[in-house]
Amino acid sequence: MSDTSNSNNDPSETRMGEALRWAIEAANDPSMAAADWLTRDICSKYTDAFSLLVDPEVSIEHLRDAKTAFKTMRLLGENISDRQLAARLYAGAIAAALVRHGERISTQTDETLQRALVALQADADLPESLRSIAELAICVIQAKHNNGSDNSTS
Amino acid sequence: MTNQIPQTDWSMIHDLSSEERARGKAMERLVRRYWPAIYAYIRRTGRDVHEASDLTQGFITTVILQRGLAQKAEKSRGKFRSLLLTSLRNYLRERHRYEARRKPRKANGEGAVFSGFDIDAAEGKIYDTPEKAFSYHWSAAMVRSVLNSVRATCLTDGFDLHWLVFDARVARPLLFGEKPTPIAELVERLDLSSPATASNMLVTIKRRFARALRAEIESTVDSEEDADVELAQLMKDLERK
Repeated sequence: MSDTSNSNNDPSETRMGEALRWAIEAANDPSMAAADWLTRDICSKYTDAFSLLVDPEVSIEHLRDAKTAFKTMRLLGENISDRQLAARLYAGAIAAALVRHGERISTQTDETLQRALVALQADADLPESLRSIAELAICVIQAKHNNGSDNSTS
Repeated sequence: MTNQIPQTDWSMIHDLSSEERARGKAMERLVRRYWPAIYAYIRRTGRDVHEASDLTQGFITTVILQRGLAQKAEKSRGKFRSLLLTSLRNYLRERHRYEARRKPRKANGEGAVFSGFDIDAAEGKIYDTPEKAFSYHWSAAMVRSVLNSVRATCLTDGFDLHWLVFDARVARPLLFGEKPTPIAELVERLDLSSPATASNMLVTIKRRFARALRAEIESTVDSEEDADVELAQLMKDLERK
């Protein structure tokens, strides 16, 4: 393996470097690196999963994509930490859609969704901004219950 | 061909005999490690996130688990990467033709499967791109696994400083194009006794990395010759042009 000090901006090099950057980032936080790559694949303006989920101007389409991608990671992730993080981010996408767009992008029952959001809100390893969104989403669900509306379908 | 993409059911592996289960668990390990390469390939063929997710799960369930790609890989061995990629291409063609039969294209183009995407035309034009996406993510996943393993053993064996030297002199320059941190700077920053000490530490971890990488590659191929070919391919993926 040779040391290099070259840092040119050739696009093919950038693409290769991007995939491998994911690999080296993964050495420090493997699960987050996988989630961040999925996010960049959805929209390159987002450099990581959290930036998409907490963006106040995120589109509903990007949130639907994020929900799907994180669901896949939850099912196929290599280890428990991958799958657990994916579950949190999956809930985060649903929460962001509720809070930012007033849309339910999940067919889960209120009870199931609320459990996932409570777990997300309580996870101290995650950024406060994302946990706040979960808290707001919980309030949205509870408010609809208090108003007697049925929100079990998306 | 089923109407719906079946959900991944890893429990199928547990229904096998103990020997088959061992092979199945090994296959599950490989699939879980390299699913991003499968997903990346499918995305580069033009499918959106939702289609790519469904097809990734469908490929793993239908081809790898139900059709026994694990057993085929075990019997014929050869390079798992090549077998996986060939199977994936075939699966996508199958799905495309199945969807095309189910949803005939209307005269005005409505109802077209993957509207705007023609897999046969794509093979002539963007076929290289899905291959490269697969190759990047395959290599990245392998490097990820090996770096994780090496870093973990370094920490376990009390080689924390060794890892920091390797990271600053080799890993980051290789992957980010950064300039290697000068040895003198590392000696000062890490309070090492001499430049020779830093160099020896570096050699130690390079050897560990090389052994670990070789072992990982050998788990996916049948022969030493195939391992050599795979290693060359990996280094080609890693090298900057």
